[in-house]
Amino acid sequence: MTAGRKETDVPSLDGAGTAAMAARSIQHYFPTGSGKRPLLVLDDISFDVPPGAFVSIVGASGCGKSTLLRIFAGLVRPTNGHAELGGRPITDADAHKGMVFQEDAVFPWLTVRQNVEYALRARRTDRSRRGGIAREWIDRVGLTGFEDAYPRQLSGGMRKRVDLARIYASDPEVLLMDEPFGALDAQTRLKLQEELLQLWEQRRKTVLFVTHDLDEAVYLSDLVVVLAARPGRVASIHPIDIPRPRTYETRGTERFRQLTVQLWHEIESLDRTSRSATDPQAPEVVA
Amino acid sequence: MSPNRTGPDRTRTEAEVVRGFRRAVRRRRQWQWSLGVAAIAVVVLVYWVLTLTSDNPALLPPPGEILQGFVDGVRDGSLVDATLASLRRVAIGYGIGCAVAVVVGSLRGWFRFVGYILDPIVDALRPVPALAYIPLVILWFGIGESARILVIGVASFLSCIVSVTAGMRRVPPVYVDAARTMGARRTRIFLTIALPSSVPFIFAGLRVALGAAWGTLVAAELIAAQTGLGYLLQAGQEFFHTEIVIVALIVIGVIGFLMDALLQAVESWLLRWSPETRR
Ligand SMILES: Nc1ncnc2c1ncn2[C@@H]1O[C@H](COP(=O)(O)OP(=O)(O)OP(=O)(O)O)[C@@H](O)[C@H]1O
Ligand SMILES: [Mg+2]
Repeated sequence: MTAGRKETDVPSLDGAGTAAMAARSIQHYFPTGSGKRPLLVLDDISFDVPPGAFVSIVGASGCGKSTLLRIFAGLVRPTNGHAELGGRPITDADAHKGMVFQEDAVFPWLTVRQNVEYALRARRTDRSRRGGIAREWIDRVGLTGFEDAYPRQLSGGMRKRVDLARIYASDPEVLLMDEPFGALDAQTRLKLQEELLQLWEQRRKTVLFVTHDLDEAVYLSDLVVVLAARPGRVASIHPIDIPRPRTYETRGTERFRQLTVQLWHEIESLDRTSRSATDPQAPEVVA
Repeated sequence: MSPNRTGPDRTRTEAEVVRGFRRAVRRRRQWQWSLGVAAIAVVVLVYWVLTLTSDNPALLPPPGEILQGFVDGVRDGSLVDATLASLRRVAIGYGIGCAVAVVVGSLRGWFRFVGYILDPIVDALRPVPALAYIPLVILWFGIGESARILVIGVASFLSCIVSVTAGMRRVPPVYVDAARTMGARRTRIFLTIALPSSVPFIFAGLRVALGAAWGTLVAAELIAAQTGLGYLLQAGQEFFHTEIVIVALIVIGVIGFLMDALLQAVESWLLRWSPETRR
């Protein structure tokens, strides 16, 4: 079984397996308790994600990034408008939209291997192929040797890798990633970014990636969508024209710095205008 | 000075570290056992001193007499029969009561509409103590073995179901969402997410119910039983055999203790994944 494994044991993620996504005038309210007005968290969100593109969403904390991603996953139904996958409205969660959550979502009662196989079982992959696929992905995220460990025996970064292996193994059409590296130390984060980029270069799945790390957004993406806060709106969309494949050295280039600085200024000014708009008493930012 | 072999600066090898872990575990067990046994010995000793100062040995039989009562009970089979009869009642009543509680409790806790239907019924039944059903049970089922088992079953059910339902309602939503985005549907999510993540709550319920089952046993055996530890308690009191009363109490205590220890062992095996389990 180990020796004779063919390349086809690993689900093919390239080309045909992926699809375009789109947000079509999405508006979303959350209830705030009886008698009070509902909270408008997303207002008239529209953008396109070409098939195979890596798109990041950045914006202030609480501006609705997670909510938007959950709408794409089919976990939340927007009040108005809809999200699309391959031209069809998204109405329910399923294995076509794989999601990495902001929180730790690795099942603590399953071992690393069982966690990865869970995804395969849920989508009814042949029993005979499960073991091989799981082993392959555990190896790719660098967790070989920890197959039978429980999540409590792993570090935070290792748990996130389990989460990634699980989603990659489940072979979704598109990947939705909600600050997957947010809680990690800088070094682990850099390493996982490299790995993610390598995987993506090989397979070209459509990725929608939430982060508030601007370097991360620019480094990984084809497009960066900037959301303004309260309510969340699309402020601007930035094409990232840095050629691929990108390496660690890319971060030192002139263009990389230009783009991150540009994004930073944009978010800064959004922050200032939104503060003076919602709260006239807010102190002026002294330059 | 000779070379310092045990000083703090000596590097410990892996084998020594492993031995060290083992020794730490063994030492903890040793403390646990010796302190537990010592505490029991102190209680027995205090009791013995009390019997010496008492002038009514019929009310406070000395430890030797209690031991004699135990030996006699085992010899003539009366204690063994009583224990087996009670064990059987508790096992059947508790088993059925808890099985129903786990099934009903998790369904009403997990599936919202089942909850809407069952919550008022279950929550109205709960405040009624199991003993209060005895007259009704006797009217409906007569005075017999099934009546006694039923009362124990009701007691187990009522104390188990609360925590099973609570566990189902506290399943972290992120696990459910993750399972959904991997393609899992209702039944699979119930079986593979809701159930395992409620295990701590289910076991809390099982342990409370075990206490309730034994607690109701004596009352259940008041229903014209001719055997059982509850019957033995009654008879001991009627015929003024204090030592038999005490023996029956101790047997109930020991069996309850052993069953709880068994439950705990199963629980910590099932929860070997949990970071909250104390090792
Ligand atoms: N289930 C909910 N019920 C009510 N309000 C909610 C709910 N989920 C989110 N919100 C509100 O919606 C807004 C957006 O939340 P969301 O989690 O999408 O923000 P975010 O952009 O992901 O923030 P962060 O960067 O901190 O993760 C917040 O103001 C939050 O209070
Ligand atoms: Mg978020």
